[in-house]
Amino acid sequence: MKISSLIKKSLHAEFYKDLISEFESNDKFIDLISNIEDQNSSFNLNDFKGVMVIRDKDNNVYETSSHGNFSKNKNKQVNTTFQSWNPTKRWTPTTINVQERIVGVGFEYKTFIQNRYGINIDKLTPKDRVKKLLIGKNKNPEDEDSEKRKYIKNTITVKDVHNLMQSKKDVYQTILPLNDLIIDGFLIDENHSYTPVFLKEVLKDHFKKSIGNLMWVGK
Amino acid sequence: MKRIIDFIQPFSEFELEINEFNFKNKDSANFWDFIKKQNHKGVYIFIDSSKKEIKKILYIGKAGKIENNKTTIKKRTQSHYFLGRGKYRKGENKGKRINPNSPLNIDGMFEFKQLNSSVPKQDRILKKDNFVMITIQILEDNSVSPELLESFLLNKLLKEYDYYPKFNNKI
Repeated sequence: MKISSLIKKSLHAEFYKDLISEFESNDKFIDLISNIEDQNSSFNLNDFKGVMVIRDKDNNVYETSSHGNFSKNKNKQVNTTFQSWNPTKRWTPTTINVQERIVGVGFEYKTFIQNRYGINIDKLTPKDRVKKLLIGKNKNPEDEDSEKRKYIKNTITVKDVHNLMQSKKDVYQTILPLNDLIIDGFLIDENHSYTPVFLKEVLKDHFKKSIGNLMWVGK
Repeated sequence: MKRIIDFIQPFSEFELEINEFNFKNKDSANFWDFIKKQNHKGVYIFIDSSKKEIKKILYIGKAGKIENNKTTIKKRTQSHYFLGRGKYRKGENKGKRINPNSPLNIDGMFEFKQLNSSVPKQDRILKKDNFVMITIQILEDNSVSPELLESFLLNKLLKEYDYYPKFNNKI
């Protein structure tokens, strides 16, 4: 489907149903929960490029996220491929914690960093703790505050997040049981007529306007 | 400008307003008058009119979100691109903003004070009359998201014209 016609179609109630049918007919649609649970699945989640939609059985949509974009390299050349990203290895904006069978929506950086490192990311205090963390990561503790915040955020790993989720569920705004959810995966590669980010924005717009029967309840 | 109007045809049912500024026979005061009027959410486009066709487009950016958010094109662009955050580190002007009042530098050239990607200084400077700014304002809030408009235009350029604007760094 062309970019312009996708916009037009998104203004109709049946858009999401039709979109799933279109991707299914091209073998580009996956039920992500079945895929996560099926150890012998033919699709390797590490190869996921596209858009993920997290919704429940009552037609509430919690998140749409895109995986893969065309970026530029250090020499300012446009990368012709984009990176795949396993949806279960992400922690923001949502995370799928398979072990605990929960999904976290709306990652709270500040809460996580406070609990993980005992650091207030806004005030960058206590100063000695910030300094120790930065030195431990081979970063200059004398850099500008905005840089320090970036470094601290960059230390986050999905493993750390999932570990902390065992005791602190409020690192996410909403925690949902995996069993109550439907997670749709639309596979979009580099040759598709539009990028994952674009489909994500079209879907968000569609859901937020409640044009069809699905309603946006996410952030 | 005409091409931008053609591009956004799929959004024709929404109330959008397209505005354009260039420096021909105008000065910094006129520029700030233009910026002050861009008080809706939307998309802004920087153009280098010395280039040909689609390559004139240097950057497409968004201002505001469809959610509760009061960022306008004016708020997003005025200090970020045109005033910059640079401050004198030494001397009698220490702490003051560098070149605080003008998008033009001391040579009378247009200069982007800051961009979202690292661009060499020489590429951030244009002849005054070559700089053009186009805005697409979303007059009815919540009718369409700035993110969608921005992504649509970038996808249009990349997928249909095989063109990636010089100052953008993610599509």
